[in-house]
Amino acid sequence: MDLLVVGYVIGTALMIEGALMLIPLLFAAFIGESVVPFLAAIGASLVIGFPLYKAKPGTSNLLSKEGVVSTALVWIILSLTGMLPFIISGAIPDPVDAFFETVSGFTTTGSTILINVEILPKSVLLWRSLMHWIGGMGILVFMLALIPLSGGTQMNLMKAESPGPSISKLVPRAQDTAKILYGIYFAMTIASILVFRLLGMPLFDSVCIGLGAAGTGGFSVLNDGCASYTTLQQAAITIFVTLFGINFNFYFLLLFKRDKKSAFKMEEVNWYLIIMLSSIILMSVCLVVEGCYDSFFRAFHDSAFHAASIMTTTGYVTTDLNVWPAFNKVILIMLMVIGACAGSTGGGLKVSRVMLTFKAFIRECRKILHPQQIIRVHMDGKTVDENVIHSAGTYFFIYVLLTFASILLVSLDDLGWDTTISAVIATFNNIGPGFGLVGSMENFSGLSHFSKLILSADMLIGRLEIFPIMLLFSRRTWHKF
Amino acid sequence: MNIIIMGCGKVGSELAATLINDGNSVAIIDKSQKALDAVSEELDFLSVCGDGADIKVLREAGIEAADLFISVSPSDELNLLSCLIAKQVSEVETIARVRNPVYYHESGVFIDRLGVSKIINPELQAAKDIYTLLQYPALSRVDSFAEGKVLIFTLHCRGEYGFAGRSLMEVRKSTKSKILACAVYRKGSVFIPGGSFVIEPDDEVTFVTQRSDMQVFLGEHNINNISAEDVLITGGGAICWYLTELLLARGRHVRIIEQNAERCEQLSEQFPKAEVIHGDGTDRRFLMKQGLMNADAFVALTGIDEENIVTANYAKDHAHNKVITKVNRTDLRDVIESLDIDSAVFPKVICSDVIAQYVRARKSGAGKNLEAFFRYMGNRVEITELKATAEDPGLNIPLKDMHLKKELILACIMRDGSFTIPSGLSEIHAGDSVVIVTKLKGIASLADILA
Repeated sequence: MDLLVVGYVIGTALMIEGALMLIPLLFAAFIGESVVPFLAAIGASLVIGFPLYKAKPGTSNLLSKEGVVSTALVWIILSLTGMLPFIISGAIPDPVDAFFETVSGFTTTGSTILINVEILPKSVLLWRSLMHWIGGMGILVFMLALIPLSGGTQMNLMKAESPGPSISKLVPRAQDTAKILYGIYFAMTIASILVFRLLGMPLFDSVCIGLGAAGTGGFSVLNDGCASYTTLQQAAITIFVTLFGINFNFYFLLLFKRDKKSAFKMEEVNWYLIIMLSSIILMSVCLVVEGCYDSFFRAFHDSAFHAASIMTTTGYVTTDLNVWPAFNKVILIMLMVIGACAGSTGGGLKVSRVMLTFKAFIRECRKILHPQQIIRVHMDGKTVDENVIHSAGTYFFIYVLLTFASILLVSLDDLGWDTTISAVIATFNNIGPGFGLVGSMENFSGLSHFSKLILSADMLIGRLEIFPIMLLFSRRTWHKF
Repeated sequence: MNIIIMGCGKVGSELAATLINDGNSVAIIDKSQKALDAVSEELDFLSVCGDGADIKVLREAGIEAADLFISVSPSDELNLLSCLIAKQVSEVETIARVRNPVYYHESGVFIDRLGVSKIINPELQAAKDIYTLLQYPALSRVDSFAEGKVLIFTLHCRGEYGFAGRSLMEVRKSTKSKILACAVYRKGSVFIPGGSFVIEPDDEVTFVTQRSDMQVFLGEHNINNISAEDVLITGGGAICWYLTELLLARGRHVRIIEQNAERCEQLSEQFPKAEVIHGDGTDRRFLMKQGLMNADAFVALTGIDEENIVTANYAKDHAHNKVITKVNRTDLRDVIESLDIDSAVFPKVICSDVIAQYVRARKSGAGKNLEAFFRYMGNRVEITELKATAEDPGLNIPLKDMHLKKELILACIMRDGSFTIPSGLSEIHAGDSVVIVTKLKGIASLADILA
């Protein structure tokens, strides 16, 4: 383990975080709020970050191990410095609460412990939403786009931070890939903010909701979530979160390669849209049949909004989901677990992983019928490497195991079935609201400190896809070789 | 430049490292995902797993936008075929490695009819290098620059040599030849020496000089240099084939030991004048029986590095002749340096050097500037020949006023066929060829040498 390289990555990431905090700082100065919280946080990032950055070793390369460790540590340390504005501004005085809120921001979860967000300083709200945006595509990918690093370093960082069963480089150079990803991300974010504004949302709301939708985060700036926006505005949010949940390879093929055929043939995107559409139809029919809604249009609108918001792991809400029929709740829980596409800003298991595991299951069935048959699993017309399938299966197992372990620990709070289970699933998959006491119109303030820490860990584990955080606790990781 | 390399073996990965370091975008195609994964731990490139002759695979690697397609897979046929297919879908330039002597003689056809821009034959180049070394047995490596007028040669300094224990300044004053020591390898480190540098026995010293002065210099310093008349070769592969062709043309006596009877037949059919012996060239007693002691030179060219190294070492211990070995694995270089083997030839390094030179030349404007490029001392020293053009910076000013980068020297200036070792007062004029010796990487134009 080359600690100096790890330090260099952490230092650089901290300085980038400091630079990004200039945005809420300038905004605070502009509207006349106190700039002290951000000034202090920027100071802290620089004081810690700069010496680490400066101690850079001459020529060392960052290998897979250092990549994983620095990714995990960057996310934890950035959350610790990122929570300073909340504490210093007095918005969230309790450190555990502030940590929970910051992790929830960076991991694009959107679970909040705040009861009343409307009384907070606007600049703090902006920082909350900006964290979603940074965390969505990843701070290290952002760093790759900005700073040229040596050969293997880039890939190892990208592999550790980017979600999905296997990462695909769009172009030969990792730095160019990172630039293209952030280019697409930035352009789509601006587009969403413009559309929200044009549909009459206040400018501040459009920016925050836009940033949150882009990162598939879910922090809102009003106490009732998105309920008070107009139907048209809500529909625009539905469409944009759906777009951000799509694998960014799709946009690359469409915009850079101009290859419509392969783009629309991407199996993962098709599965994603089919799963979402069928859930919307099932839920809206159920809502009408159960008599919750009079008009099918309303039922369809709300189903679409929540299916998109939950499946992309955004977590914006417009209504109290606790009063929805059990059938719909179960569908929503399933969507939470499946999650968005790999290579998007969303969380969850990822559609491609579900798809691969499902295909592997079909293969097992066929093999039982014809034991001698050799079957390779295909995706997008190409055979999938057996290692990828195998690791998808392993991932699924450890995912279930950790979910159960967390549920067990949170159950100590004794808050009932739906609250306990949904709190874990909603944080582990980076959604935001769950059901029961942590439902769409409630928040996470009622949980104990212990549970909040467990859930914070779950959010980080879920965002970084389990292994980086787990490997921090392995003794072998810290061996010299 | 956007470059696609087909074949992620030793040549492919070595080449990728050089090209990526030079700032090119590289995609590598290979049939084995494992080979690609192993290299992608260290390098930043796009890996595409598949057959290089498959148009879908080529498209995935971005053939439409590529500037250069290099095929260096082990199979000549696949290399040529994939170049042909690449050419069908794109205006890309193609380079193919072709090793089989049967095909190589047709390389004109490949260039004209298949549209391949360049055929690389590292085996032939290796054979030529070995041939030069057999002409100058005292040297461990020789390369020629400026249309053969300038030689760069490396000597392993022995205690009895005239320049051992003397400073470079003294060496230069005492000789009638125009010569400059431009790099020294001593116990694992590389020096670009100044005038006060003292050469010690066991140093590997690289000199630059003009062709006619080399013999003068070697004579002055008691360095025995009579070309080898009787050559014993083990292993009858492609390098042996080319080498035998060259040696027989000069009337040298060649003995080849080859294990495969069928190959022996082929060799003896092709080269009636050579003595082809069927037997195990790694068997020491057998080697002795075949007259290892009497041969002027022993060349180990079997397909197995370890056997080449072991037999070469054995030959060096028991017979006082010139010993040359071929080594495929580039990572064995350090091992060889620590052994008492006169010269080692690395066909894979030759191949990637030639291609890297081609790419750098293309980048620096239609191949006008960069004339030749070699790497020495395990890639730690690069020797580059550049042609100065009127647009280059730093022309017509004395060298002492040019701010050259550190770890870099101008080894010589060739102007209208005359050779100069530059001093502080020398100037570079447009049209001159200059040879740069440096520990820096990626020098491709005169602008690169200025600090």
